[in-house]
Parts: sequence; structure tokens; C-alpha cells
Amino acid sequence: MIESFVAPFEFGFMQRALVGGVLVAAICALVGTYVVLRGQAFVGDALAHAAFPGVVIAYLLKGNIYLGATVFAVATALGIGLVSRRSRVSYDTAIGIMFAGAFALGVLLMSTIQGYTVDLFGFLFGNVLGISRRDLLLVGLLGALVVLTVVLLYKELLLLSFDPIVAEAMGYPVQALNYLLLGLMALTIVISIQAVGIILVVALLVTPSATASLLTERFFRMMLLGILLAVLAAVIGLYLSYYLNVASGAAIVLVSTCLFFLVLASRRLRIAAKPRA
Amino acid sequence: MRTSPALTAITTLLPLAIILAACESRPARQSATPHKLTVVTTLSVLADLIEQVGGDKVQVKALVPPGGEVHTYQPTPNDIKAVAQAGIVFYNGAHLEEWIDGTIRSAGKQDLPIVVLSQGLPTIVEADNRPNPHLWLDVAKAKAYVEKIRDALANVDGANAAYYSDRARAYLAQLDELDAWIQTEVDKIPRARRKLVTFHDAFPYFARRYGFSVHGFIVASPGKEPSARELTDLARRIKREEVPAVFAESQFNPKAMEVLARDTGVRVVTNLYTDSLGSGPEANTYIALMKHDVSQIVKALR
Repeated sequence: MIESFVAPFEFGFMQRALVGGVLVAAICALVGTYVVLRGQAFVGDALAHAAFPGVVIAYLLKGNIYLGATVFAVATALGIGLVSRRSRVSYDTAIGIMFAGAFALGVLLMSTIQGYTVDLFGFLFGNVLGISRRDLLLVGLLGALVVLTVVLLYKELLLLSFDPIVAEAMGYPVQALNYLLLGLMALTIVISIQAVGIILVVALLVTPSATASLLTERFFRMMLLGILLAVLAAVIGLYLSYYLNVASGAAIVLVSTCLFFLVLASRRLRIAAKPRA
Repeated sequence: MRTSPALTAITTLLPLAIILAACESRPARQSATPHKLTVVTTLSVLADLIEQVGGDKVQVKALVPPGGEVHTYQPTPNDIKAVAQAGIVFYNGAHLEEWIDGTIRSAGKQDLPIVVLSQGLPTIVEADNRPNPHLWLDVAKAKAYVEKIRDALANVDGANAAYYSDRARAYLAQLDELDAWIQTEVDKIPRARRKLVTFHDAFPYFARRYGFSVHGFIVASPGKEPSARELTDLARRIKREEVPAVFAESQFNPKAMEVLARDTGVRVVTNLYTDSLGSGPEANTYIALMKHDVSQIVKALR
């Protein structure tokens, strides 16, 4: 029994996958609480796709993948704000324009590479098994930066998410805080790309927090519950991927999805069972 | 009055197109090198074999450039054009170039001679019921390729048949020498240490001819990422079967192999050439490639 819990983690790459997966899931859920409250799932998806050309350029120049991804994700976040404010185009249209454009640039650049491009597909779908010690260190550092920001600006970000108008009236720099949250999202997405990939990262960002929001209305509890659910999904997903012999990133995301529907169904059942007043 | 740019384009291009079409239909195309046979192939390794036989009577183009990856290659419009202008096309077959049928079809050239070099040779069939395509890493099989190339070139360019035959004879003798050299080099490795773990499954023919056993590979076919289970099983096998070293091929990212080597504590060599020639002198011909690989393998395993 114990053997089957330990067996998958005999080698370094699986241990790093576990540590990396758990770290990434927890940070995603932390930031994801804001994303869910503010209804910004589409922005998250957009930033993830926008990071792709950065990854390809870094790959071409043999530079740091994370740096390239960060530059493009942040630039796109700023670009979305700029386009929607300076034109009559709505916010979600601006997102559509910016992220599809950036993603197309990534695909175009990828087609210029003569050699083996499957590594780049790894960034689309994630390769949690390929996390190196250096990747882990970087995830840890950037993750700590995200956590620190959330801790220091907890009150400000909370007010911004629940009632931006009151926040503005109280003299908070609402615009700057908005950009800061976008920046945090971008950073979170960048460190998650290696684990679950560009296409699936939005699931890690919103699903555990959304599940938590079904269970509680208190913000702090929602955050903690979200992190717990995310870590649970990462661990179960990795075990499933090992024993069922399936892709790790997708397994983690699907466990998270299942948890959401389980909670949703149990809430419905409980409501249905309650006698009408 | 200004003429529209579209009209200008049509009036200039139409006569040009007619002239080009006229050139195309003539058997020997007029160019700077009038009597060369234009040969298109897929791999740079095959291009070298064809050049060794064809000498200065042929103009060979490999669609996949040196350093490129053949299994996952995406042909460009230029590739289709090259096939359309070719006098003969050679490719390896055995599911190596899954994209070649579409390229030839797109080129749409009637009665283009096409030679599939692996056709008719005995193949090693994989677990998924498909033949392994890397026949040329066994020099005896490469010799069979050379004989096919010789016959095919003589067939489409009968005037130079004797030339091709002479060059093929000389080259086959060189390949015999290479074959014997590899065997003496491999004999320097203790029998128990003749074990291969590589990035993709390129070495079964090589292993069978020169007495190695293949103990695994990271990807079953390029483009398919290994699962957690597959990678763990491979790491276990490396430890259990005491594989002395692991090898990565130069056209792939060495990261996965380096990580595996570190986690299992074995040596790693990341610059074997298999499907594509190198750009440097260490592997810019088929013979140089084989010598380079064998030297690397012997150095790591002996």
C-alpha cells in the first residue's frame, strides 16, 4: 500500500514534478481568487497565450524562456488596457485582438525553426516532468514575490476586487492597483506554463478558486480553500498520470474540474433536500 | 492615365509563365548547368549517398536541411516547387517521412520517377506494427541503398550509366572498409557494456549488425512526449540493467536526456548524428557521421 504511494517518486524528475506542481497550483489559486471575483478568466487565458511568442523567441535566441514569456505577457496586459482605453473597442474585444495576434506571432516564429519544435509544443500543453532544479528555484522565487505582494497589499486588493468605486473614493490608486493585479496574473501564468502549459493554465487559475467560492463567501477562507483544492488536484493528478499512463498537466486540470462538479452537485443536492420554508 | 498594378502584373507575368511552362515540359531544363540531373531527396544523409554515386552529373537537394528533424518536418512551398522541378525523387520510406506523399501529390508532376530506398529490404517491426525506418545506420543496408541509387540513376540518365556504376563500385568498397572499421572499434567495448539508451528509437539496425542491445529510448516516436510512467520505467531499467551511458541525438533538445542521466547517475553524450548530417566536418558525410557516432559510443561505453 505504502509502496504504491512512494513508487512514483523514486527518481528526481518525479520529485521535482511534485514540488513544482504543488507550488504552481498553490500560487495559481492564490491569485485565482482575485481573478474569479473580478470575472477576469478571459484575461488570464489571453495573457497565457500572449506569452507564447516570448517563449519561442527565447528558444530561438537560446535565452531564458521565463524572461521571454514574462516580457510578452506583461506587454500584452498593458496593451489590452491601452487599446480598450484609447479606442471605442470594448475590453473583451481588445483582449481578443491582442492575444490572438500575439499567439499568431508565436506560431509564425515557430514555423521558421528548422530543428525539433516539439519542445515548444511542450510549452503549449505543459511538461511537468521536464522541470529542472533551476526552473524550480525560479518558480519558488517568483512565487514568493507574488505571495509577498498579496500579503503586503491584502487590504487594498481586497477592496479593489469587491468595490472598486469605494476604493477610488477612499483615495486608493485604483488604476495602479489594477495594473499590479494584471502583473501578478502575468507572473503567475509564466511560472505555470512549464507545469500545465499555455492552453490549460487558465484552468489552474480559475477552477480551484471557483470551487472554493461555492463553499464559502468569506474572502480569506475562499483563498485558503482554493489553495487546498489546487494542491489536492496537483497531487492526485500526478498520481493518476503515473498509474494511468496519461499526460500529467491534463490530469491535474481534469482532477480540478472533477472537484468543481463534485462540489457543485453536492451543493445542489443539499439545497434540493432542504424543506421549503 | 495610370494603368492598374494588377493589369501590369498580369501583362508581365503571363508571357513569363508561358515561357516557364514551355521550359518545364522539356526533359532537360535549361539552366547554368545544362546536363545535370536534378535529384530531390528528404534527408541530408541520403543526399550524401546520392552525391557519392552521382558525382558531378547530378544536382542533389535535400528537403530537410542539416540539423533539421525529419519525423516532424513541415514542408515549405519551396519544397513542393523543388519536387515539381526534379528529374527523380529518392526518399527513405518505412514511415520516416510521413509528409512526403502529400508533398509529391501537391507537386503534381506526372510520371516523376520515385524511389523508396527502404522498399524490399527486411525491416525490424516495432511494437506498434510499424517498421523502424533507420536502416542506413547499418552499413550493409546503406550499401543496399547505394545499389538502388546506382540503378535508378542509370535508369533515368542512361547516357551516364557507366559513370554511375564506376563511382558506386568505388564507394561500395569504401563502405566495406567502414563496416570492418566499425566492427573492430566496437570490439573494444566489453561485451556486457554494449548497451544503448538513446533519445529516439534510431539504433535497432545498428545494434543488430554490430552486437549491441537497445535498452530503451525517451520517445517512442519523435513528437510524442513520454508519460511519467514511461520515463520512470526507463530510469529503472537504466539502473537495473547497469547501462553505462545514455545518448542523445544532435537534432533534439538534450535537456530530457541530461536530466535522466543526472537522476540515474550515468554518463551522457548529446551529439550523436542519426537522421541528419552535421554542418561541421565531424559529420558532413555519411561515412564521417558513422565514424563520429561509433567513436562517441566506444568512448562512452568502453
